[in-house]
Amino acid sequence: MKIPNLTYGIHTLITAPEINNDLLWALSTFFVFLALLYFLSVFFLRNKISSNASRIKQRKTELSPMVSEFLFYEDDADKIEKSKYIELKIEIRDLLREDFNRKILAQILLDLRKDVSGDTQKRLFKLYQDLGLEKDAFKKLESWRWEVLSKGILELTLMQVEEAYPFIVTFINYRRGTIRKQAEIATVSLKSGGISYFLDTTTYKISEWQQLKLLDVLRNKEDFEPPRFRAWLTSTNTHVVLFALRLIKFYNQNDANTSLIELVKHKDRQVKQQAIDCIKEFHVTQALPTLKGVFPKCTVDTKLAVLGAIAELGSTSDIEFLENVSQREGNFSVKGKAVGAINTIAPESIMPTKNIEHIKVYPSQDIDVGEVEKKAIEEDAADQEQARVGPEIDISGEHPVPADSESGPKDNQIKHKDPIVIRKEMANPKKSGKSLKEIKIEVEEVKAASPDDTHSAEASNFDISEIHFLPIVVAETEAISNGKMTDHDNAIDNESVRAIEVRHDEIFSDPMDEELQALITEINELDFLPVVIDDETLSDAESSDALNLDALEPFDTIEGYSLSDFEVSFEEKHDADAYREGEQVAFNLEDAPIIDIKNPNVEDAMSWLMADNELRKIELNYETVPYPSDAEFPNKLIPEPVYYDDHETYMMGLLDDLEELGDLREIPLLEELRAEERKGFIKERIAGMIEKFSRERAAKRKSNSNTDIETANLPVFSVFADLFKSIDTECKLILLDEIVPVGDEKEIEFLDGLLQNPDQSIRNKAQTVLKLLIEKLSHENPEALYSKRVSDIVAEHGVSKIVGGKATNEMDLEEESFGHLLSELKVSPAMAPEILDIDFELCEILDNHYDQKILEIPVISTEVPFDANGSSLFNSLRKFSKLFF
Amino acid sequence: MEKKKLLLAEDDQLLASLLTFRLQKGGYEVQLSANGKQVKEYLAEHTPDIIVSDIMMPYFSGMELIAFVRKELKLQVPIIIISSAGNEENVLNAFELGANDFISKPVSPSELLVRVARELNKN
Repeated sequence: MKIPNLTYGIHTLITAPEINNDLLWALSTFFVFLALLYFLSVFFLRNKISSNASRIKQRKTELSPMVSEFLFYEDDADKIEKSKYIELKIEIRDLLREDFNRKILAQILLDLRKDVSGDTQKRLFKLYQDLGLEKDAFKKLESWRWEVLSKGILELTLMQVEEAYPFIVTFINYRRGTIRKQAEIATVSLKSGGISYFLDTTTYKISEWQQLKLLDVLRNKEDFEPPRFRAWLTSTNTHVVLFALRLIKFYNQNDANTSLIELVKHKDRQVKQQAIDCIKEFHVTQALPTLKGVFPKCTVDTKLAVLGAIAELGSTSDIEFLENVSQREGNFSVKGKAVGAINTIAPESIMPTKNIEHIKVYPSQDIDVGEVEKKAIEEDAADQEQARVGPEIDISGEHPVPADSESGPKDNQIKHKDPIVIRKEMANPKKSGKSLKEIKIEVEEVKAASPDDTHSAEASNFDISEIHFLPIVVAETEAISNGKMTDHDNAIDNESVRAIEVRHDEIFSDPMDEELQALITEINELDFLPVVIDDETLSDAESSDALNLDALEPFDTIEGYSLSDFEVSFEEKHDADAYREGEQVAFNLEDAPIIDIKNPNVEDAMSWLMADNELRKIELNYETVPYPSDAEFPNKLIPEPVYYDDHETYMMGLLDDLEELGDLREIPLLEELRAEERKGFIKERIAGMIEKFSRERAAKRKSNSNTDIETANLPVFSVFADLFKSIDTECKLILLDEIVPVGDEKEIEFLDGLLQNPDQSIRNKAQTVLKLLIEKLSHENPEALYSKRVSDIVAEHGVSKIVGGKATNEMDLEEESFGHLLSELKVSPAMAPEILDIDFELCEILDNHYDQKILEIPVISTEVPFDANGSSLFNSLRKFSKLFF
Repeated sequence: MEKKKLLLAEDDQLLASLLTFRLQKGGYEVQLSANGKQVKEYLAEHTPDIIVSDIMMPYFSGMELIAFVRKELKLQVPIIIISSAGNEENVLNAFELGANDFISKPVSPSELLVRVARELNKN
């Protein structure tokens, strides 16, 4: 019986997909296999990891005592310990051959580094390097995997391998943040100067956390001397500026106040706030105007910081600004901070107003200042307060304490200028519930009245009791008549005091008085000058009252005036004798003409002065100088403006530039410009410039000839000479071969020297090379062979015949004859001969088999020598013509 | 001269090994215990001259060890606490429970040696 396929049979009605059973089995098997593989791999890996961990642990247990032995080994150990130490050394050397052991040792040392400190830690660092474990860390720096690289940097940093510093600093601007941060800490940690290098070079952001870590590294660094961090306040990296500000604050470097003030204006909010913090910390009061200036544009946080700084640094002059802020500012916090700042500067300037209940205030009349309380005050004041605050206390004016109060000694009486007012609560401390010490004393300063007020106060309202704080000085005569001189005698009533003439005698020499006396003396010495009086005062001046010297008397008593404040009058003198004798100043005010300032009469004044100074005999001629008319006068003086057209402006600008920057090379251009130019003044200028540059050229030629002479006298140096010293014979021979293609005239002398070399092969080679070099130079640069030294050598070695051009005697003769020919024909070359120096080669050999007809012509066949030295066209032609004639 | 017995309770094997080596070299007989359980077992049978203990240990913390020694065993053995958690609260707790000294990690073995000697000299 066939079993129906249940998959199809039962589920046919519910549209199940038709899946092949074989496929299902295959998939099931596959997933079971995957699961098994997974479990097996997990099992395998777990076992491997755990076995590895146990192996590491085992090895650590084995190696850690060895590390301890190495760490605490002392040189003065006993024999057994020493032998044990040597055995350990041998053992560890073997262990270090395996990477695994090296890794474990490094791990042990790194773990211990975290747990130990002091001398043991230093020994640990030394041991790390002694075992050569830092080499593995250096290898990690070369890894392309960032985590390995990071581990390497960390390891070298923790073990303080200073040699790694130059390698690690290269990672400061690494693209991956983790490496960068690791490198930053390493840079700062490994060297004291690392922080400077880091701040100089970093271009990336320094996070807040990183800043804290760096600060921690610096703080824990031994013998760290912080640099002046103000140097980095100018950095273009805002984060560097911010970090520098924090470091400045941390190390209290208050030498960057100006920069700090400038940084308050920084666009970055954090920098701004940090600068404000520093300003507050270092109490930079000069920053107050800047703080106020930046305030309106700041954010709320910065505003709060600014207000905090103003509260700390400000004075009463800043209260107005703070009041404005408290009134205009919308933000509650800022407003509150401003009010707080006002109260910080002037405590309790602003009292609480919100939610304050109105209570009935006791009227002042209710307070009864009785005799008992008054006495108590006096006693307390005498015992405690008076000595501290001042000698005299006035209780609100209602109950004045007499000046001659018995409570105080007479010596201390009424000498205090500032009356001290005590409130009524002080008068009755028991009622107010406060002790006398707790009561605040308000001291009101009485400002000095102006001089005008003083004068007016001297009138009938004057009361001696009002100036009882001043010492009363009585005229001597009156004092004598009274028989005694007392400052304050209560027996003297007000009436009698009023009758007394009061004078304020100066106890000490007043500098103002001395100054005034000097001023008066000075004015008296000026009596030779004419008296100049305004029109308005003319009539007064004429009156004798105005010229009364008595008017000067008030000067004796007026202080604080300058010369300009005084109206000076001179006493009219009638000393006829003095005038007759003509001695001293011949000044007579009566004779002096009164000069009207508004309508001066110069002639009168001059005549008078000359008359008074006995210069009558000199005749004065007053010449009238005719002035040009108003229309002509200014036009002649002011030069007429010169207007250039576009071309002129361009040319003048060009010539300006050429004149300023150009030299003799501009002459052709200038000549061209002159030829094209039509404007006369431009042509003149160009001509001037050409002349100037020509002079320069002449001067330069002269100086060049001098320089050539000097150069010629200098010793010649060959680069081959140095190389020749340190090589063997074979290399020397090779080097000599190289001289021909690359050498120049400098080598000739060197080669000449080699001709004396003990080695025969070098001598021969040098000889050959010398000849070849001379040949080469005679073609390429014959002038180089003219120098005295070289030409001697050339002559010595008989190579003059192969030298072409002007160098040979033969050629000189030819040129000479050619010169004669030119002179005979009365022909002169149109241009400089060097222009005609064309490389002309006549190397073709006349072939005897060339053409029979031509060959039949009787020609003296000869070979033109190779002449590639640039002999002139005329010479070549001349030589060629000689062949036929 | 008999060596002073020192109980070192430290779970960090490397540090324990290092300190043991240094203290042994300093002339002490060191008993190392890696956890609180071992400490308890040792103290049940022996009385050391001084105890040097870490705070954080398996089974039995350093604080509990102090309380155990002072309150249960009623021993006045000097106890020096070593801890990386050297905050004020831990230090005060340790002293309140009866610790004689407190050293923060990283520890200097030489310094520990001096402190141990000082505590022993006090007694």
